[in-house]
Order: sequence, then structure tokens, then C-alpha cells
Amino acid sequence: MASLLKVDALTGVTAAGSISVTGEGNSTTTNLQQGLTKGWGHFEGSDGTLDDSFNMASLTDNGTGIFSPQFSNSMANVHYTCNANMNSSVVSSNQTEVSIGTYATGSVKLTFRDGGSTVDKDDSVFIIHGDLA
Amino acid sequence: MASELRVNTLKDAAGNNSIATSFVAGGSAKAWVKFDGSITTPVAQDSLNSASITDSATGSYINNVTSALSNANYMMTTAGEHDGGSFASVGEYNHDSPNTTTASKIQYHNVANSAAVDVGNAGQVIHGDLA
Repeated sequence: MASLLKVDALTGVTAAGSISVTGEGNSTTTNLQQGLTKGWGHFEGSDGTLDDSFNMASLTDNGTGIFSPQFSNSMANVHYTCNANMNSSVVSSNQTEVSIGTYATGSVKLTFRDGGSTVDKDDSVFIIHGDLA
Repeated sequence: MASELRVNTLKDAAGNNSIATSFVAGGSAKAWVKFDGSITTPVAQDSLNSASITDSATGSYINNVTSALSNANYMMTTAGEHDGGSFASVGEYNHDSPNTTTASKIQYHNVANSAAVDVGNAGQVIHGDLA
């Protein structure tokens, strides 16, 4: 029978921050909270503005090609993962890179390079997984 | 008391923002790990569903997952910190040693010269179906 649950918040019983979800193969479970994306953003490097985002308060422009998304809700520690990329149609070489460093609980630093030089790129994206504070 | 809820769809209390629970399970990351690949024996600093990290060669690592994926066709993304001011570090799939359902392989290269490089602040996220 199809079912529908209307709810504004989900909280674990044994531990508030831990709810198990049965995996697709029906044999294992995964942790709902830990598997959820904790933040993402799409921004234009040319003007340093977030076009769309989740759990992002703002974007700091630290100079050409260097940006620091500022989180609305902080991470629990600095050991979260962050992946980032840029629009390949706007690069000028086959040597593009996004370096991700200076992990802080409230922000992370993204450095975009094209041919070795830092550059402002449009359609820059990033996504964060880890534990919320 | 532990409890189990079986439901097909979630909505907020106002009846909006509907999402099928299949999207909750299918859209959630099944594993992620953050580790320092620049040290001799990398260990996970924080993770979900990661049993250990194997340092298989310079710039090459294996994320050994605890609960297996249902097949090897899962999606992974990787990132690594720029390596000490050198040109670049890019994470990618290992074509010569494909992923398995329990071993997800990452390798990092310097974009400038294609040389394999160990990186700090290495991270990986896996999306796919659990076994």
C-alpha cells in the first residue's frame, strides 16, 4: 500500500542525529544524516555571487580565482569532504584545477586555476559531505 | 525504543516539498572519506562507510568500504589539496585497476606533468546503490 508521511523534521529515537535507511539491495542500511549533502553552491567567478546554493550564507571573494563559501550551519569538524569543478567550456587550456584547502568548520577555500594561473570562472560548483555541528 | 517506519513518500507538515523515499535512499551518499594522503600510512580523519584507506602507490589510494555497493558502476568524486605550491592535483578513476564493490580507487596527478602525486586533504564521495 502506498503511504505518505507529512512531517517537518526527522529525528532518530536512539540517537537524535542518526536514522538508518535500508539500502537499495535490501540487505544493508546507511546512515541518513551522514549521507546527506550538507552544502552545495553554483556561482559565477566573474562577479563572485552565488546563483543557487544550499546551507551557504555568502561567498567571499579572496582575489582572482580564490573563493571561500561561508556556511550557514557549521560543520562539526574540519574533516569533511569538498569537491568542486568548473565549466569546461570556459577554460583556455587542458590544465585546469580546483584546489581545496583551508578547511574550517564555517568555510572552505577554493582556488581555481587554468593553465597554472588563478582565474575567475563562471559556472563554478562545489558540494560538501560530512557531519554538521 | 527503536522503531521502524515504512513509507513511500515524505512531505513537510504543510503537505509541500514531496519527495519519494526512494530518492532519499538513492540520492544519499553511500560513503565519503577525508584523509591525509601525504603521510606514510593514511587513515580516515572522518568518514561514512569507510573501513580503511590503502596507500597502493604514490598518488594512488583505495577506499575500502564497509558495506559493499551492489555493483561497480557507482559514481565517485574526488578532491585533493594543491600540493605544496606545485601545479596541481587532480583525482580520477584508475582505468587500469577498476573499482570493485568494496574497493574504490583514487589516483592523483600533477596536471602540469601528469606525474602521480601524494596529496593532503584528500577526499572522496560515493553515490550509488548499496548491496
